Amino acid sequence: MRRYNLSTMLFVWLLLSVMTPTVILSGLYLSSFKQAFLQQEQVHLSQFADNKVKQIEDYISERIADVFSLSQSAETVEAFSKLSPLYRHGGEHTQDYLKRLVELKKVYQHYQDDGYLDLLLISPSGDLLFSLAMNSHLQAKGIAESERGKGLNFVVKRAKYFLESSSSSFEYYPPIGQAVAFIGSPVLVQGRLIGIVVLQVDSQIIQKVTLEVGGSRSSREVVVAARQGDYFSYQVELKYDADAIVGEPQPISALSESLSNAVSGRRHIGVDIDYRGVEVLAASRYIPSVQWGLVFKEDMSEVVQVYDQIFQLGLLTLFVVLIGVLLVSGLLGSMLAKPFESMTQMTRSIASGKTDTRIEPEGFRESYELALCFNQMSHALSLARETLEQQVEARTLELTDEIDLRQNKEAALAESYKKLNLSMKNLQAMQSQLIESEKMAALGGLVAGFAHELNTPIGVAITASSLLLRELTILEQSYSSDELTEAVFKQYLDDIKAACTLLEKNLKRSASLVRDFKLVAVEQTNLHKEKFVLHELIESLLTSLSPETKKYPVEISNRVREDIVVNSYPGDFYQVFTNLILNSLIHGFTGHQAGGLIIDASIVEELLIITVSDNGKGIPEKNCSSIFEPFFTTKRGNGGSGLGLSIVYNIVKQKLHGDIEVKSILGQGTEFIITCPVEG
Amino acid sequence: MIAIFVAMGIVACDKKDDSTIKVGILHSMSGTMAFSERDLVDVLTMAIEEINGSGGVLGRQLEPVLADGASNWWQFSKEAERLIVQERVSVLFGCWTSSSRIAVKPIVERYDHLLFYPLQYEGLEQSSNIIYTGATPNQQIIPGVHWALENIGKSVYLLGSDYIFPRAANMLIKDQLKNRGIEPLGERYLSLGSSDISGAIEDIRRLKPDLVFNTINGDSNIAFFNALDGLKETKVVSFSIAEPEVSAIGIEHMLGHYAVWNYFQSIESPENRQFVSAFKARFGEDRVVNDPMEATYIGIKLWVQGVVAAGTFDPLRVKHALGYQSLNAPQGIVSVDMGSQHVWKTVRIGRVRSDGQFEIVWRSDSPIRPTPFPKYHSRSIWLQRLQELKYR
Repeated sequence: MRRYNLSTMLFVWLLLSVMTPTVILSGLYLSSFKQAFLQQEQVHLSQFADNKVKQIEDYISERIADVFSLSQSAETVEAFSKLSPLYRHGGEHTQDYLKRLVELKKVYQHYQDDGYLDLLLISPSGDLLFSLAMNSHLQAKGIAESERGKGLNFVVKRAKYFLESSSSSFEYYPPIGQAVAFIGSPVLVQGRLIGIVVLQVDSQIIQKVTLEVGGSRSSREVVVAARQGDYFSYQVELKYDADAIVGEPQPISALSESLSNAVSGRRHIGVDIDYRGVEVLAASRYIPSVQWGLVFKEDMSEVVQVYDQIFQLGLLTLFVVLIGVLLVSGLLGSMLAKPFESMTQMTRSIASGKTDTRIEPEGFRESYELALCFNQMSHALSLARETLEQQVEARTLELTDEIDLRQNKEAALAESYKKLNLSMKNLQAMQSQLIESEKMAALGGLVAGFAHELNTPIGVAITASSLLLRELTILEQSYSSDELTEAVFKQYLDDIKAACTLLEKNLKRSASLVRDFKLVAVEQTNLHKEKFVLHELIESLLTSLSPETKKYPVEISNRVREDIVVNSYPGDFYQVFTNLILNSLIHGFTGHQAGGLIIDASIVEELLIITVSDNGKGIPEKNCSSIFEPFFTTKRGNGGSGLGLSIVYNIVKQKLHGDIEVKSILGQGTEFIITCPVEG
Repeated sequence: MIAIFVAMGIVACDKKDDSTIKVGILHSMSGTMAFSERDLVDVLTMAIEEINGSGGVLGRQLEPVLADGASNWWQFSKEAERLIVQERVSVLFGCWTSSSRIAVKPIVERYDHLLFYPLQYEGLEQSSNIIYTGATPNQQIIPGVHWALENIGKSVYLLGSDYIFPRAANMLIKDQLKNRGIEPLGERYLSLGSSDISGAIEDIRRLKPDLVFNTINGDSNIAFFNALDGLKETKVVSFSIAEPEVSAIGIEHMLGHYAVWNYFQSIESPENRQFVSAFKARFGEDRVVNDPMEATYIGIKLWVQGVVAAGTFDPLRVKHALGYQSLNAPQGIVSVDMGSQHVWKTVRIGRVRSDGQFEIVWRSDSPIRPTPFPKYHSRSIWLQRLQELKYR
């Protein structure tokens, strides 16, 4: 596997853990940003527009509050109650009246200072009693109501007939050549109208209030229009059209969609084309106090530009973060790697033998401590090295002595081995002798058995012959003494005949026994290879072993098929079967346990397979592996020599070039299986 | 992984809540007021269907929750509380009579909730939790009286039902008459539902006034106009009779008499044509619309605008946003007055035509600022005068 250095890994790690989420999030954010930004911008613009409406409404409400408090003031009530009678009785040119006007001018002077153009006191019948600005056109008596302007008439009527404080909209007022509004309120004493007080407001302040746009967008503009039937007029100056005249009627069709919404009272926000033909984001509002439609707008190009700036700032930030990650990972990597590098060098130098190398502890706490530990370790290492050298020297000496000792011991061992070898040879010789003597013993057993078998017929024959002899002697005496009668003679003849029959029978039996034994003995010692029928060999063996086998209640059955002919060493077969059968009887059926022993054989592909199986008590598993070893016996002291199966094993292996194995289940029986070539 | 979770979070937050928004409708579905108030429920039903059909409000569908005030102010108060507390409605549209409004007012104030009240009324009230879309006296009674005095005649008889609205209305009318130096020829109040108008007819026969300012509410009007048939010289200016009442009383009895409202079905404007035809399409050609129905319609339209402007259904924030709303309504431009929470409305005077509709004989130049407390007295004096009326 390729090894990466620390900086690279840190970079990759930071890239995965910091940059990837950042990039994914930024991507998600930026992708939904434009819509959200536009929505946000609309919300902001709406709020600005609402605030603007509130500012204008508040301004008008304050003016109404001013005129209402003026109508409620004691000065105003007093002014009307004094001026009205004077006006009725003599008119506005009397000394008293003019004096009163001068007094009133002082009383109301502060209204002009507060920015009102004029303050008017009007009688319930519509006569102008007082004007703060002393406007000549109003002073002239008899001027028709229509010439005072729509606004003034409106508020006077409202006050007179509806007892209501009200404001007119801002309209161009010819006498002073600018747009003004009137705000009027009734003056009542005990529910009776005694006059109407009117304040004249110029449009400068409200224009200023209207045109003020907050925020950072330079293209923001407030456009205000009022509708009069099929015409409309702008109520404030246009930012981008200096030629547009405030108050000049224009056909309604020239209105932009947003302004058309505004003057129709429809609240709206959306993208529109303004009077310049420029695409704008515009919020439409209606201001009931002045019946204005108001549009608060900003150029789309600026909105988009701001969006672009924020977008670019986002990208830049992302880029800076990437660079930062690169730098941080590089710096951190080299900072982390430095102690490792110096320690690597130190370790190399230690490896090359300079165990007293030191490094300067530095860097962060962990690397500092690691360096200290390294130094301790290298110190300990060099100390250990010195001690080790001394120990090695001492040990070398000890080892030299030990080697000498070992060499002596090895010589002694070789001597013992020779002796052992000799003993082994002796032992092997002894084993051969033992085997021979065992064979002899087996033969001896056979002979003894045979002698015992032979003893009976010969004994009977002897008895018969002695009986015959006695009968013959008696017959001879009878004949000599002539006492022999025919009947008696007949009696003797019968007796003799019987004795002879008995004699013959027993002698024949003896002859048969001798023949069998001869056969066995001959075969037993026959070392030549010859063809024989296995069944017959076993039958004759069983006959000769019968004196021994009869001692056991075991039925031995020879199941070998009679057509199996083997070309081998019959003597060895005798030996093998004798040992296996006797071994089975002696070890498998001690006591009077009844049972069976079966000898079977088959030929499979030129291989003779012989099984000798019994249902005796079986061989313990731990002994199975040792039963073929010489001198292994479980009946030492009871006549077992421990050579029987060893002999079998040797014969099968060496003489018959076959194999023998044993299978045994304790308590159920034992089976020996011999495999050897049919042609031995 | 973090990024993916965060992104999933964003998407999850973005997912719109699609549960419905409950809108409380609290009107009398039974009792004596059910005849009038059912029309308002129909208008609300139609408006909600229109709103839901065009995608709902802030992506949510509206679900009307109907409550029966049963023409009983105590029931109104109980049902208002149930709608707010149990049904958790976002807004209430309801009430007709002043007594039901006065009963519901403390409830919406206690829970700082929002009620739209659609009837012209006596004024002299202001609650920060009620948006009044009906006319104040200076948007109906006062201009109506002025016009009648200028155009019909100067001898006046005052007739009304005996409860707060007619008494307060007549108080204001008398202020106006006093200002002009006119003394009413007579003043009479009938108990609600009474058909015994003989006293009033006798007065009129005897006094021969040019004008009767009529603030009778309910079935008494039928008896009154029937009995008035013989007195052709007297013109009646009514403040509580609209299109449905005209057909109930009988056009022949009403012909040539006047009513003062902000809205008549006969207004010629695209907005009104659309409103009338939508209502007829939904509820039948024979149905008519009237001023309270239009005021109800204005109310729910303004509420929707308020919700959109506030970006939430929270009653308090909607109420705040409502201060800035204007609407091109069937009657023309209407705007919510920030200070009083009443609506700028245009005043109209109509004369009953032979088809049962009103011929508009006069309208104000522009919408009139709502002034629940007329400006010639301070508010405390008005409240004092109102108390005097109640405990008279």
